[in-house]
Amino acid sequence: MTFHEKSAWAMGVLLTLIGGWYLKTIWNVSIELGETAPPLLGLAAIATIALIIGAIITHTLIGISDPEGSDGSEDERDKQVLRRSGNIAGYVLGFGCFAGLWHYVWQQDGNLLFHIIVGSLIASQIAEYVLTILFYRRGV
Amino acid sequence: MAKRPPITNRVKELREAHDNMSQSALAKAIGVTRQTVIAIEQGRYSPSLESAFRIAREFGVGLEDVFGWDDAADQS
Repeated sequence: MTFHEKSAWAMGVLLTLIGGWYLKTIWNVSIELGETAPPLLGLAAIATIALIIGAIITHTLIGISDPEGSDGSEDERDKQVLRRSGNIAGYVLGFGCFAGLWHYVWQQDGNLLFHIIVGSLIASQIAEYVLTILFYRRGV
Repeated sequence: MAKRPPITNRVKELREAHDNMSQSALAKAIGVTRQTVIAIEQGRYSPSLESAFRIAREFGVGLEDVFGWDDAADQS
């Protein structure tokens, strides 16, 4: 397994757990308030810090387990895989942003727009990690 | 599942014929990762023309002695 594939596994799991927790908390707060929760910057900061700490720990472990492959350099296959997964993930983000903007036109709910954009960002990153793993395993 | 490229190769065979050269050694010689050499040998990845030439030169043979075109796979 290449360094980039291991990294995609680690970040995919981390982001699914932390992103899922973040969005579930937003959902629960919205239910309690009876309306869309405002952007919770404290919650976003906690999620971001948790993600950064998790990324540092997992990448340190990956580096210790495979020192040779952990310099982060990309060969021609890595570049193809990462470019293709990044391209498709960009469509996921674009679709989410468009859906959020379209929703705002009709609902005029800025809070919901914020959450849809953040959710799209999380979804597109997870899609990128999943596609990276898929392309490494099944071919570009 | 992604369609495999209709390109066959004798990389593993040539590697073994050259003093059982390791995948890591070949990877280092042509400037890719060991995982990429594995993917080439398994037919999951077609190398760039530059890498294909580097592999052929490493074994001292022509390009077509390493890589071939699979007509049957191309038409399926």
